Amino acid sequence: MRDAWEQEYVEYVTARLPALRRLACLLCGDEHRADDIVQDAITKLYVHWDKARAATNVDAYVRMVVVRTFLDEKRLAWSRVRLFATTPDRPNWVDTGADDRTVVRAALSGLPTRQQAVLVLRFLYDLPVAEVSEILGCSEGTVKSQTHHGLVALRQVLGDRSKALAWTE
Amino acid sequence: MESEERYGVAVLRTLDVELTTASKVDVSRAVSEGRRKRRIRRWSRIGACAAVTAVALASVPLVAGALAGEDPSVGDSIAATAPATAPPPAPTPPTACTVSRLPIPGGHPMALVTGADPTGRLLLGRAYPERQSGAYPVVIWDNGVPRTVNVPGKDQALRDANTAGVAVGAGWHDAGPLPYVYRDGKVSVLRGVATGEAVAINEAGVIVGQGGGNPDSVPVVWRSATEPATYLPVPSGWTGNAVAVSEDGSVLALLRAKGNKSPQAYLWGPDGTGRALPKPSDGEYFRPYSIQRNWAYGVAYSEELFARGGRERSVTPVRLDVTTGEYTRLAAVSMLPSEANDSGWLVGSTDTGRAVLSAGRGMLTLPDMDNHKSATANMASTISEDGRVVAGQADDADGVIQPVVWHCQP
Repeated sequence: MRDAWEQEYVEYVTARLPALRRLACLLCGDEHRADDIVQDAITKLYVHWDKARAATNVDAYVRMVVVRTFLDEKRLAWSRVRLFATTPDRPNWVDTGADDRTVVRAALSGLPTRQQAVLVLRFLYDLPVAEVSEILGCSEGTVKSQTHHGLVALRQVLGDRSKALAWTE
Repeated sequence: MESEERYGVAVLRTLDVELTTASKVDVSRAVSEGRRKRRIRRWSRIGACAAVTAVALASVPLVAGALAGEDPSVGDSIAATAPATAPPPAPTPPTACTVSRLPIPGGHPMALVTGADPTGRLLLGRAYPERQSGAYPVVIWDNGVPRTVNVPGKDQALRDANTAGVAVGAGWHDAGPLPYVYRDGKVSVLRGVATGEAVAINEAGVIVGQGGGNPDSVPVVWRSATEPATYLPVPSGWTGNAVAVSEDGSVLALLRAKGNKSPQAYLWGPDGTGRALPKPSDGEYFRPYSIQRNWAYGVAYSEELFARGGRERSVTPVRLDVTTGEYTRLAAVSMLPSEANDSGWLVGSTDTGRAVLSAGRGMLTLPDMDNHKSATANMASTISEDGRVVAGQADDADGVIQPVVWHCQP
């Protein structure tokens, strides 16, 4: 019984690892840190596996665990609790020669953590306000205002580059 | 697609690239570490459950299923045993409102409203300093005059206040959020939870919120600002957060239920007896925002859209008579409500950037402070009991969020 339960966990997590790493990486902007977050999140997931497997939408539940781990980890001064020896370089602040990705990432990482998560979930994952509020444990009104603040701040930081990026749409 | 949204997608899309490094995630280590944590958790749970049982036995007759860990069936526990009380005679609905900007102390460029007392005399909010650090000066406007309150932590907010001027909220710290109460000019931590948040307070001074960290928070009640928290009994394995408290001490919450694909609205009566509230219809779930007498206000969401992560176009404001389990669909106009007052009047926002008020007869569009270029340009967050004071946020000409109050007349 126990073995089957655990086997199910291992199979699920193994299959979903690429997606979980991608989500964590989009949130934190660093592949090494993303692995730390996923390691922590899947440990929590094991502890809560009864609840997760009972959820009809297991993926949504697991996504919530990853996002909340990211938010918690940010509060824990991540550099002190690293699991791995390699220390990744923090992205440099806006370098005029840098590519769009680096610039946007730098701008995003300058925002409060929850705003970062709101923007990634709303615009990269296309999640509805209701689900983002569910994941972050706050009201839809907060999600809407955080989205707005986040975009205003990004526009300010990105300046002219902002126009070029939006133009490519 | 609305322009703000298109901008968000265009900018964020640049971040979406393939990962280049091999995974260092170790599933077997997660299993061994997870096993250890489950053992520790099982032991701590036994202690916590014993405490909840003791409190419950001392004070309230509980639904047996809740403590036995059975999921109470949704809806059928609502028996029409008590006749529905007629809605209270409502004040005359507002027909015209004027908007004014609330002053921001400290010269900060941006601020918004996060809550209010029932009269609208006290408005709660927070300011956003030029340089964002995640910590916000919390503001209380008393008859429009601001003062700054130092709530410790980051992402701080006061969410609710009573007419006596006691306000509740939370601030985030390294270990998680801490629940705070502001009274007599001082901010103090509410007792009885290691981490948690306070979200609402009634006139009697009963405070509700949640204890514990994500994703395992559980609704709690503080009978007064000085008493330690009491955990409200939830069915085994359910988690969630409190939403509101009524004047009789009933607590409304949104729980994440084991085995259910969408969240579950839950209500504890003044005697502490908890029950799952019925659904608006098959395929919809109820997301409550406030409770006034026997009416819970909120919105009905499509469960299927929620599960698929679809757009929230199907939102319908609803009122639930918690005595009979009967739902009334409110406004025919699309609106995301924020709050209801004792007369059942709703305030909220539309997806076209307008703040709106619904006082039973259609919708009243509140004047923009400046424009409604963005979908979130004007948002009404609170409404007073007499419907005369509505507060929220509005974009100025530069798109910067300003705290605003709408004064309304019949």
